[in-house]
Amino acid sequence: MLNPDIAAAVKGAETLLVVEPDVLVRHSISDYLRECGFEVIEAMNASEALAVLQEPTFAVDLVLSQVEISGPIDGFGLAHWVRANRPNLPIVLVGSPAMAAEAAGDLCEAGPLLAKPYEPQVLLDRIKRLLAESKRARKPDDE
Amino acid sequence: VENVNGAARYAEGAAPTVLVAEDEVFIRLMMADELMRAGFQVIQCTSADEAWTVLQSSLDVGLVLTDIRMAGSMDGLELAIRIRSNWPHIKIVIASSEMPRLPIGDAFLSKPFFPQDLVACVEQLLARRNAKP
Repeated sequence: MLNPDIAAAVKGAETLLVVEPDVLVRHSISDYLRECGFEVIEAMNASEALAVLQEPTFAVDLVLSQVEISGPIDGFGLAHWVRANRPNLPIVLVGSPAMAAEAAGDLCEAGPLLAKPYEPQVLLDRIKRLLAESKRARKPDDE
Repeated sequence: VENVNGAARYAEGAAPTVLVAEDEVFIRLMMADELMRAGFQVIQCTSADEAWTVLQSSLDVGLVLTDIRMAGSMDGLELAIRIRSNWPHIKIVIASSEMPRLPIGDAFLSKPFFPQDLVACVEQLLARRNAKP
C-alpha cells in the first residue's frame, strides 16, 4: 500500500533502471519503487542494462544496480560505462559489506555503496535526492 | 484508456499476478508493460529457472506466460510440465515463434504478436479461471 506522503513527494514519473540478478529481490524492490510512483525497468544483468541504456526509446533517469551481477560486466563496470557515456545519469550501487566498498570509490554519486540489507526508505530518500541533484545539474543546459 | 480501464477492473490489491518468463529483454519489457497497463501485477523472469524460483516462493501467481527457448537448466516446455504437475490451477500461455512440440498450456501465442492479443488472451484465461461454475 503506497504511503500518500511518499506518492505526493514524487513528482512526475521518473524512470529507474533496476539491475538485480536475484528475481525475488528484483521483483520486491521494483514493486516497492512502482508503488512510490516511479516507472521501473527491470534488468537482470549489465548486458540487459546496457541494451536498455543504449535504446533511445527508454529515457532512464537513474540506475540502481547490484554490484555482484553475473556476466562479463559487474556493477562497477556498469558504473564505469555510465560515467563515461552518460555522465549526467545518477547511479546507485548496492552491495554487501563484504564487497570492497572503497573500490566503488568515486563511481557512485553519493557515497561508495548502499549496503544490503538496506531500508527501503533509505533507498527512496537517496533516489529522490539524486534525481533532484541530477535535475539541477541539467537545468543550465535546458535553458 | 487501457490504463484507466485496467486499473478500474480490479479492486485494489486484487489484480491477478502474471509471471512473464522471457529471456529477450525488449520483448519481456514490452509484454510486462502491456500487462501492467491492463491492470495486472507482473513478475518478470529472465529464464524458466527464475520462474521456478518464483513459483516456489509465497508469491501468488495466476498465470504464467513463457517463451520456449531460454538458457538454463530447463526450457519453457519443461517449466509448463512442472507447473501442470504441481499447480494445475495456474494458467499457462506459451509465447514462441515455434510451435510447442508438446500439447501443453492453455493457449499459444505465435511470435510476433500484437500487444492487444496478448492482453486479450490473458484476460480471457484469467476470467475463465475466476468464473464460478
